[in-house]
Amino acid sequence: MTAIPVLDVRQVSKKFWNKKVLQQISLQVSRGEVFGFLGPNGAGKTTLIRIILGLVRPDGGEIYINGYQVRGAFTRAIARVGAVVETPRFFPYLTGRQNLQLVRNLHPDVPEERIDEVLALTGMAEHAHTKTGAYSLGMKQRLGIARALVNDPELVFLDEPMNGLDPQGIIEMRALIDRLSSRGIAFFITSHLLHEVEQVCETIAIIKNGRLLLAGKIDELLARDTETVEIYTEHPDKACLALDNAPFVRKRRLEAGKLVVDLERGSSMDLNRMLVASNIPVRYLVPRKSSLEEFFLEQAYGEESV
Amino acid sequence: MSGLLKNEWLKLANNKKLYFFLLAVAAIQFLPVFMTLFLKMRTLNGQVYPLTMFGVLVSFVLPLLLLILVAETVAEEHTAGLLALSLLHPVTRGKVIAAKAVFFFTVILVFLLFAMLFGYAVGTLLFGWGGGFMLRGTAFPTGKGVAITFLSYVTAALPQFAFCQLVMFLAVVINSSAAVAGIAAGIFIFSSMLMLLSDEIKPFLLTSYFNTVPAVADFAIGKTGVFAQFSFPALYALVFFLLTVLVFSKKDMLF
Repeated sequence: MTAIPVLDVRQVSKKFWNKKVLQQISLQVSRGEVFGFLGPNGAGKTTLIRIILGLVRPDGGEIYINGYQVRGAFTRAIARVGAVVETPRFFPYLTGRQNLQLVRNLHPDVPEERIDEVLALTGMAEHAHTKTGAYSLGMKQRLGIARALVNDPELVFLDEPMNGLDPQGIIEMRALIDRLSSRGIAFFITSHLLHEVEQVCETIAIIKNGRLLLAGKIDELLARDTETVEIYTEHPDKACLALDNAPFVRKRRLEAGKLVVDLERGSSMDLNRMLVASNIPVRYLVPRKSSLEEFFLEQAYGEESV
Repeated sequence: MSGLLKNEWLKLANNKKLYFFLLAVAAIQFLPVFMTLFLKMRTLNGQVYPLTMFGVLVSFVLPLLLLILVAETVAEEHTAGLLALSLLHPVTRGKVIAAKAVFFFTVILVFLLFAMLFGYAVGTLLFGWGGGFMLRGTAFPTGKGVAITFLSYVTAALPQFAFCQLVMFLAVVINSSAAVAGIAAGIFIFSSMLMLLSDEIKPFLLTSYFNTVPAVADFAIGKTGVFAQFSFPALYALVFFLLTVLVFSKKDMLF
């Protein structure tokens, strides 16, 4: 028996006036999965989150959360969902704790102690009685996550969760997401910090101009039949000439002081041998790891990014 | 819905505006003291004092305070992205609007009862309880006087509530608290002026129903039915409540 995905988005479309902002978007998030939703500014990321959360009505398509359709059974679908949409907003004249109390009051089954639990979990316990108007952006991010966790959710939406956090805060946030996902909570994360997404998420989807470009496991998406090697030499032109007819070289380019070569997987020894045979002195040969950042730029911007 | 109502009160109780508004109500209720002591305009006692400024309070001060409160509680919360927060939980949009409506009704009652009790306290402390209750040249026994005062204050909640529903409707249609407050104030002033110009359209203007003392006093004397007086504000409140729910249910929350 297949487990029901915690989030199932089917063919969702949305137009604002005459502009198509989302076109036939479909994706699924499994229980405990950390899902990265990426795209350039204005791609439609936040609109999709708002549609999933019932804040904006789609023109077409269906959304299921925990098997409940958002449009038909909204209160059941949303009951175990937490969300931080865009910058976390709070009532500035209420304390952190009072802002969380507003959420608890809407979930009668959630015990009062849960507020203290989530405050402690996000490191906000000592600021609980300070008015949120005095909070820094980093503190608001933490409190936003605390608020998203009050109702003991199974699915949490985080829109740019690392914004405003210092390096220590980012590490703590990453650890928190790790810990919670291992308990079965699924995360749907948008972020511009692709390095962070790569470290936190297992699965990603890339959206551009309202269209889903691709979705899949990061490891599988980044796995290629080529490897990239950086050659540091004082004679890059000579090296270029030497590699011109090498059968294992797919692509080469000069980048600030180095030659970057895309090779057939497993042929770096052949490259080394060829450079030695051509009498080209090489200072370093550095394998370059394929990063999500490169992959994203390639997918989202194609040739524009080169 | 009780959770939503609790939230509205939690927010208001921690908002300085509530205390400024109560201070404004108290200041209006205090005015007759100056008029009596310094201008020697009339002689007051504790029994009649609460109704001395009633007309000013319900016809001008309270509607203006309420339109500010509604504009902030609905339009400003919406544009600040705070109204959407409630919608991320298992509550329907209709319930969110209903909770706000009930909240405004309770706020109106609190303002009115505060004004009445403050009036009794100031009047009695400064001028004594007095021998009787006089209203528009008619003397009433103390018990009836208290009943007229109490009923006037309590029944004033309905037309004020109907006005809140109108402002609430504007607030869900227009995404700017300043614009909502401005338009609502314009409607209020225009309606108040229109009242003075023609008796024929008066029954169709909500502002005509703000001051409930005449209806309650006439009812006490046995001249007219007090319920007929309140059917128009009730209908007005219902229509604008339903329109608000309808618009809000279909609204895209983009903030």
